[in-house]
Amino acid sequence: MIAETHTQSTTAAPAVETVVEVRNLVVGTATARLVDGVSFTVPSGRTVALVGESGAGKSVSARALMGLLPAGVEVLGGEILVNGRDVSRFNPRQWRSVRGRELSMVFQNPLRSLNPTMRVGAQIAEAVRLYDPKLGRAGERARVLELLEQVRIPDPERRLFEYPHQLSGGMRQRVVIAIALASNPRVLIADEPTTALDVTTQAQILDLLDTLQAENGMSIVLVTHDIRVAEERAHEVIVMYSGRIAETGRIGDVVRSPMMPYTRALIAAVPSFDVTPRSLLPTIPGRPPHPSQRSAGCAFAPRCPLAEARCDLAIPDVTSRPGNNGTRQQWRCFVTGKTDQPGPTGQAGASEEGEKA
Amino acid sequence: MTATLSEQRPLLSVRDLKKFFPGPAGAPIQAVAGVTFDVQPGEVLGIVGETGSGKSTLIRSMLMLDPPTAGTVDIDGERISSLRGTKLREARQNVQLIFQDPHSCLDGRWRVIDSICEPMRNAGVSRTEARRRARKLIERVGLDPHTYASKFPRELSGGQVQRIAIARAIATSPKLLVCDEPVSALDVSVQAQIINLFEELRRDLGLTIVFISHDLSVVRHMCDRVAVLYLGTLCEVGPVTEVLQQPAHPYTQALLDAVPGQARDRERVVLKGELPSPSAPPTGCRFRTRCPMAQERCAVEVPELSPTGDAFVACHFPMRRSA
Ligand SMILES: Nc1ncnc2c1ncn2[C@@H]1O[C@H](COP(=O)(O)OP(=O)(O)OP(=O)(O)O)[C@@H](O)[C@H]1O
Ligand code: SF4
Ligand code: SF4
Ligand SMILES: [Mg+2]
Repeated sequence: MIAETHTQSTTAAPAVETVVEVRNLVVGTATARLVDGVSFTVPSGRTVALVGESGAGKSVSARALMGLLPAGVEVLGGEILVNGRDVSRFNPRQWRSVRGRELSMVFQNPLRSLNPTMRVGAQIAEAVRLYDPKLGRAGERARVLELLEQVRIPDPERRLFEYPHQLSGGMRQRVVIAIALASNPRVLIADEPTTALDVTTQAQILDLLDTLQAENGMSIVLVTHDIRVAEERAHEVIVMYSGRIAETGRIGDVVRSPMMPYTRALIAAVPSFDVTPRSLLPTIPGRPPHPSQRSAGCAFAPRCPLAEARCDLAIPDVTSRPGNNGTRQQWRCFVTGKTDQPGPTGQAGASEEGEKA
Repeated sequence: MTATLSEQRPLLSVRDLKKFFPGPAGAPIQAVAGVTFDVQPGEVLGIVGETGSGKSTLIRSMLMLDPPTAGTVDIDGERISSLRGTKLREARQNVQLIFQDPHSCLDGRWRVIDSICEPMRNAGVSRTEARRRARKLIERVGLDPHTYASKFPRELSGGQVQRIAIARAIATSPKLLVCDEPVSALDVSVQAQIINLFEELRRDLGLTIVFISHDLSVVRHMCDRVAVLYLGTLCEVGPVTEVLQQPAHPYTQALLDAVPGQARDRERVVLKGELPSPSAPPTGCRFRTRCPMAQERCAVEVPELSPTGDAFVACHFPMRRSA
């Protein structure tokens, strides 16, 4: 899934249709490349998690897919193919024909995505009308109720007339999801949809996304800082670091045997239930470089326990090995690509021809 | 200041603490509805619960920042819930607070060294001595005093500001450190650094900590005991090894099951419905409207915290722990 699309994407993989393909995407401001050469695909009916820490470029990538980049941030290079059509340089009018119909987005803070002065039913109806202007009053109302039922909001007839502040955080996020579903998108981009919620509510919302996917076969791009969420909910993962892709692959392969040292460190830093209580957690010294201050080499080099002199000089090529189910695990690293070096987590990476499906 | 603490006497003792707010139509909001627990010296107690369960209110009323409606609080043998004015302020110097947003502990117009000095100056430490100690503290929390002492909070990252807030909190060697979600807003790698810092400070200084968090993995990692709060009452309190390994209360089980990435060999306990309003809590067991195990008795009889193994559980039908 990382770069090198011309060679690797077609081999071995079973015939899963690709809905979105991002090729060598560069997004930035006048002074910094916030997303720097990112390539990945979103297969139909699957969940792809974009994982990384703050500033890694997850949200900028997700927003680029929706044509919703903030002012002053632009696509500087690469392509975003939605059903084979490059949308990356679309103007706002062209975007309106894609956004919603092909892709919809759910944001972290449900309160900010909703209009506080408008009843919930009216807000969903607005979204319904936008994509289906000919429905008429009764049809619209039926569709709104259908959407509320789809997102499992109890007592939908009553909820129609409530305002966002009358709903709990979880219910608000369900309303936001209902609005995103109004257009029957093929891809739902969910940017930290549960970060503002409690664990129990988070589990309910993530269950809902799973159910919706099972029901209507949509793809989900799940942006999260929590690799445990990705582990539980995604089929594939893209680990980002400082605007670039560190590692991708089937989530189980990446979590069980991460290859890129950053992925290893990220997983090891989580105080999971498998770690000895009160033991010191393995940490990564320092902080990621600001995108305007990346060196010419591997962005992780200043913090990497395995770094060598060459790591500062050039960006490593993609190394890959077969993963499960015909996927490939891919990562960029000079050192772990060639040898069987154990990472900071202690587990040795498998050899290049590693675990076979 | 340096009274020796006996092993038997808890450092913090909270008894039947209640905090009600005036609510709609005369029904008070029972944010904290009778909470009892102890914290031993050198112990770290985690408090977990969902949004609105009353964690923050519990802390505020426990520390008399917003005096409780009823109940008592003893810190190191002193009944702080009966103190007022200067006496209370003096007693509160034994306690320091750390919040999720560390900026709320620091004055943005002050250089970090001055923020760290302030509690020491209030405790009567001379200016030069306070500054000398502050530099040591900055180093102690893992920052270089040459670089950071004269910075303003806005010039630091979230993790760095949290380190400074911790330095300030431990500056006066408080008997008790109370932390409200101190690592929740941090990135995983920074969170790990701060968790380690707490652990090191604990080992070196023998700190007693009350640690609020909604992240059960963090609590399991850092705490000795855990108290599970639901709608203002405790469901279960006891050693982390027992409560989070084999929960006896269905709510604890549901919380655990919601932790992402936990390997599971059985169906999750999924909560029905929503948190009821604290101004109209369910009769009997407060958890019963969402409990998958609820029975008739649960609607009429309030379950009291009673010993189960090494823990205490408030449930009429606790789940059995295998020995
Ligand atoms: N000053 C107040 N006036 C009225 N109600 C209040 C007040 N402070 C808190 N409450 C209510 O008391 C209950 C407990 O709130 P509290 O803030 O203690 O929860 P919490 O467990 O800290 O939640 P969170 O995880 O969101 O921080 C909530 O229903 C809240 O709305
Ligand atoms: S390329 Fe070098 S610096 Fe980058 S992750 Fe690999 S070993 Fe570390
Ligand atoms: S007392 Fe009843 S309702 Fe409450 S937790 Fe136990 S079984 Fe559930
Ligand atoms: Mg709180």
